Amino acid sequence: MTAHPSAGRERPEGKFAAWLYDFRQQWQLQLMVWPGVVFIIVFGFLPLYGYVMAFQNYTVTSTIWNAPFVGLANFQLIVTDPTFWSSLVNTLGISLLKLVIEFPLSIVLAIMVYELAGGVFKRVVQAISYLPHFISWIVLGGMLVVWLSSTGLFNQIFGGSTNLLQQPGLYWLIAALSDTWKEVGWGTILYLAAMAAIDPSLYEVARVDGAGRFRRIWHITLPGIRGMIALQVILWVSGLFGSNLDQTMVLNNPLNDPRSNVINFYVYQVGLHQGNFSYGTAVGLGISLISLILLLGANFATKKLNDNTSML
Amino acid sequence: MKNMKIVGAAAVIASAALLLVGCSAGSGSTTAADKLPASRVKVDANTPSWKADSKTKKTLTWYVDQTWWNPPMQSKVAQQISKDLNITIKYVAGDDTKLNTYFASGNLPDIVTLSGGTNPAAATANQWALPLNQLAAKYDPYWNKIASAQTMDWMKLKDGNTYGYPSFSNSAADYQSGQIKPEEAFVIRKDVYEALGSPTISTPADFVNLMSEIKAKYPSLTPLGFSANGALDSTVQDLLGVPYYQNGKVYDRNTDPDYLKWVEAIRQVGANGGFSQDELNATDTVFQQNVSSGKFASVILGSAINYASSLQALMQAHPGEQYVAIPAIQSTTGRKPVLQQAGISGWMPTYITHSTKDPESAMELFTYLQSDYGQMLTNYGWEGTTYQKNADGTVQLLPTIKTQAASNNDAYNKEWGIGQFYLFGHDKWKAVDPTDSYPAALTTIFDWGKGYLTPEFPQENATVFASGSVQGRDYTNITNKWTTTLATMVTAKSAAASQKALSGYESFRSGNGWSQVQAVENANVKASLKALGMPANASTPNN
Repeated sequence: MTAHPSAGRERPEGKFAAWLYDFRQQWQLQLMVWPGVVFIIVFGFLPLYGYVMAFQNYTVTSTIWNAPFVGLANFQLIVTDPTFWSSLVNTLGISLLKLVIEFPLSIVLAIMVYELAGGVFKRVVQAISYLPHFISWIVLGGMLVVWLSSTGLFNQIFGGSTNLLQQPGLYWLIAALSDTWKEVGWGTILYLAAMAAIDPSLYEVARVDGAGRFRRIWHITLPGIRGMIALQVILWVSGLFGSNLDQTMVLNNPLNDPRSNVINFYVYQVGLHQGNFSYGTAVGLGISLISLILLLGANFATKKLNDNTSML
Repeated sequence: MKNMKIVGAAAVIASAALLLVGCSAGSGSTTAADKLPASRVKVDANTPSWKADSKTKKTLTWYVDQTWWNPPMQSKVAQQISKDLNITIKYVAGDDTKLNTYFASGNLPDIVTLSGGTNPAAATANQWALPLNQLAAKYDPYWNKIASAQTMDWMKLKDGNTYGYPSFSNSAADYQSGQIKPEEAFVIRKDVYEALGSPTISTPADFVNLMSEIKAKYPSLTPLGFSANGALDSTVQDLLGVPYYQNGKVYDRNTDPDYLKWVEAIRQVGANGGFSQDELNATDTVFQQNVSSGKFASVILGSAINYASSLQALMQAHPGEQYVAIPAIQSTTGRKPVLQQAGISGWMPTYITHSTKDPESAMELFTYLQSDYGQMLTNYGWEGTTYQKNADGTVQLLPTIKTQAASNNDAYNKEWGIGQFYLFGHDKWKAVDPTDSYPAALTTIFDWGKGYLTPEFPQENATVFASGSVQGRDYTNITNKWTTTLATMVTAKSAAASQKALSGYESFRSGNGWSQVQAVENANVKASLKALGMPANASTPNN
């Protein structure tokens, strides 16, 4: 390796000079980071100016620069819109059901996979559990529509004859369970990665001390992935108001609409179908703000539980 | 770290500035019609201008707000258009998102076709399109000879100018001419109907009994079929002659007592196993499969012309099992059906935009396509090569062309392009070829519906709400609630449960600004009645 031009020189005092010095020292790393930073700026930050629409009456023929400002009028409309409130209830209902079912299940599945002796069986189990994640909702939803129809798979097994997707009362459960089926395997990946980092000697010591399998899971595996669980809780909680648009687009029908109309779907309908961009944007902005508050709140709570170390 | 932030912020500001510059470039285009360039040729009210203007080479971009728009540009019809006008047309297809991107940039293609007259952009066309009446006067007065005066009048905006011209716009005279065809009917399989003794069905009770008889006699068939899209409300209402407007006001069709009697009958049919719940959310593909395989014993059919190929497929594969139209779903109060076809607003309106540098060529293209010459070319091709003229003035495609169209439709469309350029289309041009324009399976529907087609022009713009208005939002929410309610009503286990769903709908809409929604609709109808020169207290003509 040839000597770096700045090698051996002292890190200069001035702020910019110091930054330039650091940059030269790590230019290879910087080269790898910057495309990502630019990407986030272009696709994550620049489009934020579009939120201006939430405070305007933006129509198809206006531009962001000339649409009239209406202040908080759009937000006042939201508060008086019963469909918005019912979509909010549906979003929270489905998200909480998913949190209760899917979140613990992926931990359990991760532990089960981890406890399997290595080899072909383990890899097959993992592959099969990941598989549904890679099928798009369009395909999977189409399968579900057929399976849940009045003469479909489920009715043939259980001997019924009602179209299950047309029962508004069942929709939340169908949405949560189908999402669990699709994503639970994929959700184990991060836990398995965290488990791989646990020192194997801990298990040996525990075994010597006479700890059974469940004791080892309880006292070694679970504490070992505690940080990862905390991180996942934060992400789940901040995603409570996020809803699965793809899933709703496929499974929604006029009969289950009172229970399946979620916020994303409502924004999509109001914004793109009706061309009411300002209203749709206002709903989206409001939900983003609430999600941000939830994210910070969850981070604060887990920090307290986790010896004051933040997971973010 | 702090320095990094500064650099990042600088990058954001720099890129935002670039973006601002890029976007504002096109937004200063408020060219008024009086700034139009002078005409290249001497205009004449009796000759289309394109005939004198073929020396100039022209290029136009034409945006069509339908993702599926993809006419065969290598076809012989396309080449003929290019040759006649010395023009290169570049078509761009897309959806509303693409259209809105154009609007946001302020830089539109030369010609824009909207997906329909109720698209919010249509109401504000004066902000982005050139007035067609002024373009015609300046560049091509021949247009006024061939365009429908009633349509031009109907499309006028508040400033008195007409900006867009819709395809398939029908005037009141068109409705009476017999050239446009009814496409709503109750149809039943011929063999099934005859096997049951061709009973006369006129009351809801008769209808319920008929469906039960079919169920008993043909257990493998589904007695009643309907498309998930509007068959159970608008089509049934049209068959029953439920008015659209009464005494100059919008009529509340969904709670019409006569209609509700039939909803109850359909509920009873469903309770007796007369249709599968799955039909309520079946895709159009599934519906078409059931029609073409004859799985439905009877069908409530709206927009039959869209299902022509499925109906024809059944007729060809199983002669004698084709669907026939019968008067079964009938008013209990003696009203005549009010069948609907494309109204005076037509289908897709086409505009010449502010952004065009060559409004003259765009106007010539409009005239060309709208003229008899252009219509015959795009609908039938060339006399002697693709069609022949009969003694009575009608035409017919030549047998070789018909064979090619029937055997390999894709290749036929690609080679000839006949019937593929219809953005200025009108049903009267289909009527020029009475034998082959529509498949034989539709004849029964046309024959039954003859005389029931009723123009409902005053209500066509009833549900146009200002973009971003509360009433627009409430209207959509109420419409969605109705879809859910109707589905709940026809699948309810008892009449009481069905009634409960209806009451739920009625209280939902009164809590969702129904009175204001109706006020806007009534104002729209009032304005339309005035524009059409009809009395302010007019009603749907159906009794």
